[in-house]
Amino acid sequence: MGDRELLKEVLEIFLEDSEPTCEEIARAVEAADREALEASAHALKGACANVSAERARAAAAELEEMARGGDLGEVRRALARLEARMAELRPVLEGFVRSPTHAQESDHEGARGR
Amino acid sequence: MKVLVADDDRAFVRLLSARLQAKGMDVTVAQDVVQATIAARRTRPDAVVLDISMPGGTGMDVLKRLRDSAQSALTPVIVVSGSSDPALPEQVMKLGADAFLPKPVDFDALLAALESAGSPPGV
Repeated sequence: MGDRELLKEVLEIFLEDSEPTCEEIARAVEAADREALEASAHALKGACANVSAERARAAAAELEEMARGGDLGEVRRALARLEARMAELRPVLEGFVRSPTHAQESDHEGARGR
Repeated sequence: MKVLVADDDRAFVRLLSARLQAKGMDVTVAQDVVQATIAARRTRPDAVVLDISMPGGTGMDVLKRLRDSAQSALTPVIVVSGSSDPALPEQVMKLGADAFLPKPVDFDALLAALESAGSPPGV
């Protein structure tokens, strides 16, 4: 498997997993559930770090810190920042995932009989 | 070398598995505490890469179980975590971890830790 192919697979996983995680974060904010918010924001922070999505990672980290005993008064604004970062990020990653794989890697795929 | 990767972060696991397999390592994946405990018993790994934040408990629970079992008491365990808790590295080392690496993980450092900790005696 080429690097680009592996990267696409990892980005696909990120796109699949981050959406439900964002929904969990929103539900936890709505319910003011610190434990659920900390767990879901921590998961998203790690997922964003895997794909070097620094601004989304920072927004998730901010929510995780709030959940760990910080002030929840600003939590809705922090959630809005995270959602904005994710809305910026998704189309970029989706575009990369949909882009054609390099011709040389396609040849390798053919050689493996796929 | 058989490595058990216990982490529910699928993208991290995919990236790490690719790196380990490229080095000829045999990778088993577990995505929660129960799976990790069962996989450790069944596959008898030469080393474990263990995340702290996992469904069904924490990596600390897995680490304690590994150390309490004669079969895995000496199995090298490398703990990885994205936690900002400054006390965590010391806590996991006290519980018997062989190394702690913060996330995002430096894969080269992780490979080096695995290769040094997980080499069977005489190899």
